[in-house]
Amino acid sequence: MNQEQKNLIIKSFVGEILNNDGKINCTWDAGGDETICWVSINEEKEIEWEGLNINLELADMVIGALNLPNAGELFHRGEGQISLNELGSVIITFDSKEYIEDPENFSLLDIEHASLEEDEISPERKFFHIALEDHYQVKSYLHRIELHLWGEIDEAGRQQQNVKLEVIHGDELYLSSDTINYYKTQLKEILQDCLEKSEKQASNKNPRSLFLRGKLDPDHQAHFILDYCYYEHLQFYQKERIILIQ
Amino acid sequence: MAYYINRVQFSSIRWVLRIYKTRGLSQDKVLEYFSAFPNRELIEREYKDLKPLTVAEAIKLGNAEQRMVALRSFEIEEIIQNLEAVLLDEQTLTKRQIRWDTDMKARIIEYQDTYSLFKIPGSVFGIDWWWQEPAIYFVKCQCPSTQKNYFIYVSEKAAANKDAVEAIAWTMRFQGKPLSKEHYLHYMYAET
Repeated sequence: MNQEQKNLIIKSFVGEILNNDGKINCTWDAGGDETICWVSINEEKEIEWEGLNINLELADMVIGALNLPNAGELFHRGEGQISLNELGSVIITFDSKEYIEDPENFSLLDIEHASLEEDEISPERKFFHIALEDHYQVKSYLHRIELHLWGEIDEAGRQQQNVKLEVIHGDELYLSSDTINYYKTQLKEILQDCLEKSEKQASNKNPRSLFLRGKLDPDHQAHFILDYCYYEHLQFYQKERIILIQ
Repeated sequence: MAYYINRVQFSSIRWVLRIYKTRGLSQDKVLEYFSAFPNRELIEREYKDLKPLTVAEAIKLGNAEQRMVALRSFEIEEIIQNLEAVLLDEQTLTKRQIRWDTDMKARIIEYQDTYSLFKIPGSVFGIDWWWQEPAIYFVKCQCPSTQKNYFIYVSEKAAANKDAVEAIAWTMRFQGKPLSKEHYLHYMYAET
């Protein structure tokens, strides 16, 4: 099957999904030796249609159209929705940013209510535990799920917090919006705290950004282990709409 | 609804339960992994009578990640037994090594090392090529210190002469090149 034939199949598939009020979402986290791009069609991760794995085909198109990075310290993260425009072309409407990590430039010490474990400090990582209250009894599921938390403040001051539940064993679990909002609020406060502290300690006053991620740790009950805090240098931020198939 | 084992997604709860059964998990342990009431009810009703997965069923799983999770539920010996592995050659070498006791006194020990070269025909995996007979070759050997069995992949070329020692020699490299049987027998004293 040549690319033209594939394009026709994908186009008609996208039309079919949208006509039935379906949604095609795409997220990507590329760079650091990986180009991860996920397409979910009505939450499904793998749909075969007329001999094509539609999710993979669309993901490849997004990777190509946005020229997503692979190796090196250049990173590109974003998310978008795939749809058809008024001319029937397959398009993606997205928010994304490209940045370079700067792991050399750590400046995260003396964070209030965080206990820094000396033996866990390495050149690339700083671990610290932050006690959080287990308001929503997430702790009781940590034998079979992981709760990933990450947040960032970029150089333009934009903030983002994310909470993702990953099931390791058993059936699906969903977080209530109250639970998600609780953890997002906590992340926001921690990030703000980190930023203020690092700005006070920094020698130059260039705008900077912070990214931190961690997960709830069953051994430390409702404690965070946050790792990999680093500065990043924003290359560009884009909120755009581009054509994937004409 | 999706179900997970080691983060890998399955669409059938019965497959997941049968894998847990293969791993020897008790019903109470499995229940700890399920929260939805209908799933818990199904486990209480059916788990005790579910049959463990077989190697043949695991091999046939189309999704590579699911296949990997399922196959990890078996001992390697059990997988090999079920994959119709054919013994091509077996050789036992007598090896001599210097070992030191707690007083740093050297002593020579002599032991025997057996290498077995096996072939699994591609047809077991449903692979059938018209231009050649696909197969997987591996050598079974035992660690002299731990007595643990190892199964090491070797290439078709390394197994071409149906010589277990030549095949094990191929798994070692000197200046980027695989050892020949002669080199291996010569350098054998350097094994640790």
